[in-house]
Amino acid sequence: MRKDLAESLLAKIMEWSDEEKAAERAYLESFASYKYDEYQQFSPGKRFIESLALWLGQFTGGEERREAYNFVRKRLLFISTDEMNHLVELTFPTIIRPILIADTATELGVDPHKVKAIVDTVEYRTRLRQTLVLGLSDGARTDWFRRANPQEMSNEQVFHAYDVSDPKSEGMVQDLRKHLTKILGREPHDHEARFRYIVLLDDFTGSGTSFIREDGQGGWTGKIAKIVSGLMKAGNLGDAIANSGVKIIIILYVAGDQAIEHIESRLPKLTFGKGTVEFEVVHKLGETTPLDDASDSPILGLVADDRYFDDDADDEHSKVGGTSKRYGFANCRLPLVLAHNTPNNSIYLLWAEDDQSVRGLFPRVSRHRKLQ
Amino acid sequence: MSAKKRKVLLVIGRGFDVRTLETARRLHALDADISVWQLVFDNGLGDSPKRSELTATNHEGLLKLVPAEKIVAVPIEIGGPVGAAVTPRNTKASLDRAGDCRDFDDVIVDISAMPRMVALTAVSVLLFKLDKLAEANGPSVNLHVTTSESVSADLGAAKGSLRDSVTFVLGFSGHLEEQTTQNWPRVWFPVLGEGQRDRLHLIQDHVNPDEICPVIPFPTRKPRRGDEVVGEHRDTLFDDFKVEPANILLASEYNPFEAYRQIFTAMERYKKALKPMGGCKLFVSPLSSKLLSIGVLLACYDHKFGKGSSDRFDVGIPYVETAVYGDPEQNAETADFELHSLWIRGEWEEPIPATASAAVTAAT
Repeated sequence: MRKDLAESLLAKIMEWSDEEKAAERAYLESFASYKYDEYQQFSPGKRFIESLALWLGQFTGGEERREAYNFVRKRLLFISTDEMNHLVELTFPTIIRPILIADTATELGVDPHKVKAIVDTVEYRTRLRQTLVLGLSDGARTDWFRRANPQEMSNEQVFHAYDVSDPKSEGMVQDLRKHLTKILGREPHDHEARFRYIVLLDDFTGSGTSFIREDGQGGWTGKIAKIVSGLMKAGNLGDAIANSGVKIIIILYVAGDQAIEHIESRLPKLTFGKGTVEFEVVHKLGETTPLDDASDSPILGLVADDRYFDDDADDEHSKVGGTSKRYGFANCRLPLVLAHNTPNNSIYLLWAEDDQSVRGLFPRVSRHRKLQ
Repeated sequence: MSAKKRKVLLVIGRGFDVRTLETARRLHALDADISVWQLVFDNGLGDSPKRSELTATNHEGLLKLVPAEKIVAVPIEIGGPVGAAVTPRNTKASLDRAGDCRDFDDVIVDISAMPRMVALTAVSVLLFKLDKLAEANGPSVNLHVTTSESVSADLGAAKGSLRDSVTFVLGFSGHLEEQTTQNWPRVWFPVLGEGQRDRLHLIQDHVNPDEICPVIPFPTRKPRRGDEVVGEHRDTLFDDFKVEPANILLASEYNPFEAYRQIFTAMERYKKALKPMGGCKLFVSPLSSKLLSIGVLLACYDHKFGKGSSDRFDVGIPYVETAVYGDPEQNAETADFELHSLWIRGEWEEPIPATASAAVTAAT
């Protein structure tokens, strides 16, 4: 649909006066161009203003449409590709480097504030090279992480996945040994030529359940639990890391409070025999991001309305979250859209998929496709 | 600080802001040997009863933390709504007269209750002095900057009217008026916060930039803050200034050193890219939080005086001062702010004992 046609449609749906139309159109065009048009799951030719017009059109005219529009103007949280890349760029200098500096200072028995001297030491450079960065999903953007830190890290210590083949794992250790020889000025001992920091990167979690959760049999499941279990086994990455003193550092670029609380409350109970597991978030969404029963009651009223929910959205994955996805997976109630896909932790009205009876403003492409 | 009794110079504003005493309270709790230079601002207009009362309350609070004989009042004339911009020059002259910093272990500039132009000038003047002192084999005195950050407190304190002219931080003119380079392209980086429309237009008219790269706060404590800042200045940015979305830079609200890196690097890119045109003129306007303002100042300082600067590049820092403050809409009981401390220079740059790093020279 042409932009001017989409705008006329929107003005008609919203019953805007000429004055309102002029003001809102300017705002929407700016934000469409600044952010919203880059949503990667819009179908070809479809852009934000058209999607907004069609999305608003499904609500009853008048109050409902105004409240839905008000939600978009006041509460929608869209993290663009540039913003996500910026969070990736912040990861090393604001999280990883301070940990390496603090550990080096402890090893050397010096004041950790003397950062300029510490980063020049062999001990720091050794720890930096003994750091292995792995992606937990496509969203980890390890390519961007690598490009953002060209002076800090070797290509061979950053990998896009955590499921590493045996030859790849062995190659990483060989490269580590080669580089340590240069850093130390001698052949490293076998125990030195092992990774001591495993950094696990991912873009987002709303609930934290896919990272770690109880398996119902007294144990743990989820990505973190599986990786920790794998690192304890012989072979593959288990042989690539040291036998003790290893730090696993899980870093999420974006996380909601619900997820942070979920993960932080469970991690201390997870046993890692070779060291410790830490958890960090670059951008915390904070307590005011989830929709609130009182202040967000108009949009939550629409979310609760059965006319605007397709039961088809609830599948076996909803059970893991413990509730219907109407308010978002695991009842996260988020107003969040990520440029590459809307998380299912956001309210269903935002992400309803194209093959469902309700229209989503930023339709989601599900990771869990249903079999036809 | 608690390891030994340190001699600390606290440079603080005498003002009405609810955040005025936060640093002094923390230092008092650490049992430091504190001396204070209290900058006393005078714009020749007098204060309202409410502001006078708040300022007096803050001063009484300071006297409970630091003995009166250790507090030196440093008067600074900052000028009224019209006339020549005297704040930067007077700030430097007042600090020069106030005394010598070399007898202290740490100089801490608490900019929470300082007008921004005073704060930026004070930090750059003291940084330059202490750098020169160390270069001349004098003591390496630590310089810290503290600020109690709160978007709501900033907005509450910012009521008032603007001067009608643009002022540059002392030493950072960007050679705006230089005739021989009038044809060089001008790039302007306004670091945006809330409520800056009038300042933006005044500075834009004065600098007349060829390219504008707004800097938006992200990530932020309130996740929509960046969008709200863009939304508030939308027509100015996109309709009036024709800013390309791709030109927008992001700077972490939490970490001024990362903002420093973003801005420093962007400036470096423009310097290189525009070299075939003879050169360029760069300007940065710190219109966001005071924390980010210090990151911006340091980026400009390092382009001019930093060890890595080969060309002593003078980046301009244009700003429009507040001429007359309105009564603040702040509440000391409910104010929600966070004290930040930036260690700008000093011991953190010094070498560690040679014995600490066993193989420090093996591969260097």
